[in-house]
Amino acid sequence: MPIYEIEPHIIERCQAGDHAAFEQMYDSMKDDLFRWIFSLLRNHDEAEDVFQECAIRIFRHIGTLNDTSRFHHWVYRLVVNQCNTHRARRNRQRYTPLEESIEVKPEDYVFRSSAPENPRRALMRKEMMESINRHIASLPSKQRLAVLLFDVEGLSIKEVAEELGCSEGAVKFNIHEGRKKLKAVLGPLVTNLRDTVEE
Amino acid sequence: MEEYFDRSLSGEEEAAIEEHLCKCRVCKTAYEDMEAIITMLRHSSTPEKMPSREFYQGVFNLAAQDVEFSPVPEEDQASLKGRLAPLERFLNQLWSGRSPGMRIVRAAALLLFGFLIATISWITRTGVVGSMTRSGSAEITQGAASTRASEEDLVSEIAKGTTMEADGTMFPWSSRDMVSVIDKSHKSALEKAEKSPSGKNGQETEIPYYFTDGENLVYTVPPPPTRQGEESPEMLVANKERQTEVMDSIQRLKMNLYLSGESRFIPEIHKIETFIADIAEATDRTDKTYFNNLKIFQEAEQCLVDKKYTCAVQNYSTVANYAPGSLMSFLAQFQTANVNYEQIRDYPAALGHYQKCLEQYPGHYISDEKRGIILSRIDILTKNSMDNWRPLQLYHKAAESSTNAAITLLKEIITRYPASTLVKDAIETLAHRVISDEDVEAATAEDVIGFFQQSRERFQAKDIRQLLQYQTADIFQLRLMNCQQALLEFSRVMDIDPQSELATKARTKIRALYRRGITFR
Repeated sequence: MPIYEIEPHIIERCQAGDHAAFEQMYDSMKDDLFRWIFSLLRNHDEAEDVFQECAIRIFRHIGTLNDTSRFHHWVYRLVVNQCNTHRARRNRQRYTPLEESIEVKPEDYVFRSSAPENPRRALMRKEMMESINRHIASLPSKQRLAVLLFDVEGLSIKEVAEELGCSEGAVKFNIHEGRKKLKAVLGPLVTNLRDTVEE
Repeated sequence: MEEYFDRSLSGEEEAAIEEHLCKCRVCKTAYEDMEAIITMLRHSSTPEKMPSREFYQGVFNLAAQDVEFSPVPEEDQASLKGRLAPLERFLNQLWSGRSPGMRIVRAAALLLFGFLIATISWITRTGVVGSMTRSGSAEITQGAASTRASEEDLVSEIAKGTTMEADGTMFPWSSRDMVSVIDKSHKSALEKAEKSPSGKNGQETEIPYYFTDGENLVYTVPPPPTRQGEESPEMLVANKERQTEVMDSIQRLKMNLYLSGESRFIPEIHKIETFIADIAEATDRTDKTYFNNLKIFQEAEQCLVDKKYTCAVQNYSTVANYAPGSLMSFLAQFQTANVNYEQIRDYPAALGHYQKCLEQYPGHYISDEKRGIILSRIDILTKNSMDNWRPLQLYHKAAESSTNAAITLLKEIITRYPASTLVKDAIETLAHRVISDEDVEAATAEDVIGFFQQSRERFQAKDIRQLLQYQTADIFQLRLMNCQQALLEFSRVMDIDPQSELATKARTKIRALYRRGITFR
């Protein structure tokens, strides 16, 4: 169940200290929460660390949430802040590329192909993933968040504006700028990959 | 275009853009590039693996330390958790195994455990077991409702834990159904326990009577309370459809195990099946023939595990003939056809059995998956009935052989049975094996290209000639890495029939080669 489908009455029961409600809330959101953190950090171990910190904060501060219908906004904000804090703490300017253990599966193609994957393509795919992570990391924070929230998480412009605390115009600008930069660096990769798959 | 991707256009504006994209190549390429980048973004944002259950549980425990929980009813908290702790540990151990096959077996075992609990719960309540244990009692004896309430209490709690563990398995019998069954028995038992001390009349409080009619012990059991519109546990357990459903899931499970090469777990499943059969018989409303046949069916499956295919077919046939029209008979018929098709390669027999599967059994026995298999195989078999199914035999043999042997077999299909519908498949498979097997020598690949060229002269049909040409080009490009020659060969594909699907594919290939800087000299 996505985070935004958790019903306000469950949150209210959590605020009242109902253990079963906490379990229900946690079970409903854990996978979604982890995926979201992963998409921001792009590293499994770091995502687990931040997941733990976020869970502790959600549990500890859920009582301070006034409008329970805005729970998912509150969680998004918390996650974004937590990820930023985490990066600042580690003083990392760029993401760690995905680990070596990328499993090579034919269905993992961005462009699907029925042909079995050969080692050359697998290597290319791996390089591509690393390159995507590197380029996403190199975007300015607001652009990165805007693109990820809008294009990956599927939030609307208005929702992204709420999450990031800026105007809708600013969000659009950040998305366009982010995409433009990604297109400039990833465009050749896309053409390359398409050629390989078409082979 | 940016606004199109921002999802901020009206329906009409979007439609206009889409129409334009169909006409304008430049915009279409720009659109495809942007879409590819967004796809990449999404793809790279999905974790390769999710955290383990232990991790999630650990984080929950850690986070929960900071929370002051409101007091909960003691029944929920201490007694239930305390009693469930050993079970939880046991289940955790069960689930920590790594083999996928064993996991499936465990999932099945857990589900069936839930099934057992429901049955035991019903039997205990309706007094089938009670009548045996209390046969010594005389005159009117009131059933010890309160004792049974606590028994059922425990049973239902255990079952809750169990079925929750089994959640998310592939079985159609949802574990939630089971929880609701158990919950109902739990509640009715509690209600009974509350009523019994105050009830003046046993009949009113629904407590069974045991009495003697002179010599024999007789008992009457009031029907279990049924809420309107809901099935009682008894009905659920004795419901033939549900039993069939469970047995059908087990059959499916077994089939998946065969297909995944994990047939060594079949004996374990046989134990589970026998257990269910015993319980189902205890409900006394079952299809006896089904369970009588089960034993022979299991023997047949054991033969399959041991690779004694003729013996397996014999046993399956016995089952199929024993109770014509029954579900077990259908399953046996289906398996006979499969063994004949896959292992023994007796195609006429397989065709006959597949046809019987469709003709002699009611439609609801045949799942969509099975129907798909049956229809596609009947199709292959009828289309290839010429030459006594020899091409099909060769084709199947090739699939199991090493590349060099397979090349010889596939060539034989193409040269000796040019009218067979398998020729196209043979050509494609031949090219695929040459390309994908790294051990194939360049000389062999060239030999296959030569063979394709000779064959092209012999075949009249345009589509086959074109396919041969296309595969030749593919081998040049992907196996011999001769892109220049591949470009030439792909252009020849278009010469044969410029309108066909293959010509379009060839055009795409040529474009891709062009983009890589390879041009006609």
